[in-house]
Amino acid sequence: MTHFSWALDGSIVGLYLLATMIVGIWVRKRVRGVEDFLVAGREMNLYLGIASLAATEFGIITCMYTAQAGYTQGFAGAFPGLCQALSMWVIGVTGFCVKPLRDSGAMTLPELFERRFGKGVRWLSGVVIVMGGLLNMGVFLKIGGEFLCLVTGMDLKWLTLVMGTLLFLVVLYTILGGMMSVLVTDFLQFVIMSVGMLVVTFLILYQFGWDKLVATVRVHHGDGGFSPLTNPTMGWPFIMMQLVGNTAATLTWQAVVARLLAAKDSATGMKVLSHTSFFFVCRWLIPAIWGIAALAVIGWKPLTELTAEQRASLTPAVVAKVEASPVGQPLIHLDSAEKQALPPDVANHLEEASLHAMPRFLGTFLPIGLMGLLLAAMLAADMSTDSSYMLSWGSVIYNDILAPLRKQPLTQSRGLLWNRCIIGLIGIYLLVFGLFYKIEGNVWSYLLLTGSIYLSSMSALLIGCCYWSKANNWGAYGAILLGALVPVAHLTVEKISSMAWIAASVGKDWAGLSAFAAAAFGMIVGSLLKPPSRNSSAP
Amino acid sequence: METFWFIIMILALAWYTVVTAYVAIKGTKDVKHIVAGETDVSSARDQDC
Repeated sequence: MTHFSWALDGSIVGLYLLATMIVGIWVRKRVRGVEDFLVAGREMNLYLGIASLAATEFGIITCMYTAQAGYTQGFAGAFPGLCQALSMWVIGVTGFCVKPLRDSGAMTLPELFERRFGKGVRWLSGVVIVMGGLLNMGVFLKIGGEFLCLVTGMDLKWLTLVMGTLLFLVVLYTILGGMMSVLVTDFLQFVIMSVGMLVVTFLILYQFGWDKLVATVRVHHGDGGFSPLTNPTMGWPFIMMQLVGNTAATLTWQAVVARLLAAKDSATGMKVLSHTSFFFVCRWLIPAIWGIAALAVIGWKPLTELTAEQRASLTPAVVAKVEASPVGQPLIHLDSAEKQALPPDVANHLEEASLHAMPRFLGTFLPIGLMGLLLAAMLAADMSTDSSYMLSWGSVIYNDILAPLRKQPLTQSRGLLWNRCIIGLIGIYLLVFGLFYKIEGNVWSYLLLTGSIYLSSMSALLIGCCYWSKANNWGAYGAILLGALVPVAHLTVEKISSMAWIAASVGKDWAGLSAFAAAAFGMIVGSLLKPPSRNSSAP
Repeated sequence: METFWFIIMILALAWYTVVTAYVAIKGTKDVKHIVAGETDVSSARDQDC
């Protein structure tokens, strides 16, 4: 039974939603053209940029998978946050790639690539970015809905209604106000989200104390709960992949790039990155502390996720193996015959036990009143992420996939209409994808895999475009092809049961690193192979 | 490593508290600026990579 009170907590959440909608819809009058809609007229200043970037990069899904990392890996689970902060700080201070990108005045990455590599590369980059981004974003809504249902104690049969309502509100103000609405609501959402997260974290530390959290990690994870080098699921390949992957994400993740391009100049954009970088430590560590607290209270009991009927369908041997499994890996001791005999919904519920632990814990831990603050904070986090991501991928679809196909440029009013229709269609896709798609395994792994389809190639293109005079369209095509080939091949081999051992022995981290190496190889070899043209000139 | 994570946690909570308060105050001015549509710096759209 959760502590959620519809009267008090519900009123706090209702008040937050009302304020967001009023603000989001009110600023729509400032949108006069496509540039206002997509990059807010490039008038974003430093503090609004920090608030917007932080709010965008923290959604309910972030909170869920980082808490899951804390629950299943202890403090070591927060290590990717250190890598992310380091990467972003170095890029923000040096201006590596981001300075020439902002100075170019492009509205998206593919627009910049066209100037160096031609129209074909722009179009193909747009397709790759949108594919990776939409697959990545497709699971946001469902995970967010699950969190809200679990914390409030609502039956999961209401998930569709919760998802649909949340999406409708976000789509409404994003369609009307574009980046203007997104930035202003992001500011409001950042403040509410941050206050809620800090209050909950201080309360957990006050109630449990640091020593109890440390003891919990030591009991369940040993030394591996503190160091990624001694954690059996991490190691050097994991650390290298986090550093490389997070550097690429800072350079090319469309939601981050959109904030950089909306900045009033490159110096402001660089400051937004360097000043926001430490937020990524908080983004991982704070939910990880929530996950560790959930482990201290709930423990590791994956069988409680099952109904009485589902538990009765399991053999005693399977029950014993699941109960003896390490935290977060309920099926690891089962042999292949036992895994195949498990009904898919039972396997899914067991796999989701580590993901659901944190919201189940918070639902019974927080008192009435604070529950409302937490929900408003998480709704704020989720709405800011959803709106920004819809606008980010929508801008690429409009600017780089559809617009280049037209011979005549669209008028401002037509361009706005197209953008609004694209965002509406993305909203419908999110609802449908969220309803029917089921994630298998760890959420962070899914997000990294779908992201790596384009992170490797786009970062190779961006570095080549900005710093290598010999980079050309052959190299760009080579990087896109090879960069996508490795993760797709790994995913395919992983799903073929007779070849799955190959994927398992390589591991996701080496596969990710190979994708970056392959993209760089494709860029270098492709560029060098292209015969020099007599009248070629680098744009 | 326990001490390391303790220091990181204290830093994270202190930094996040200060930045939230600071951005909440200073960001209000930025919101007014963007809503009013005051452009004080010309676009750098014509420069190239």
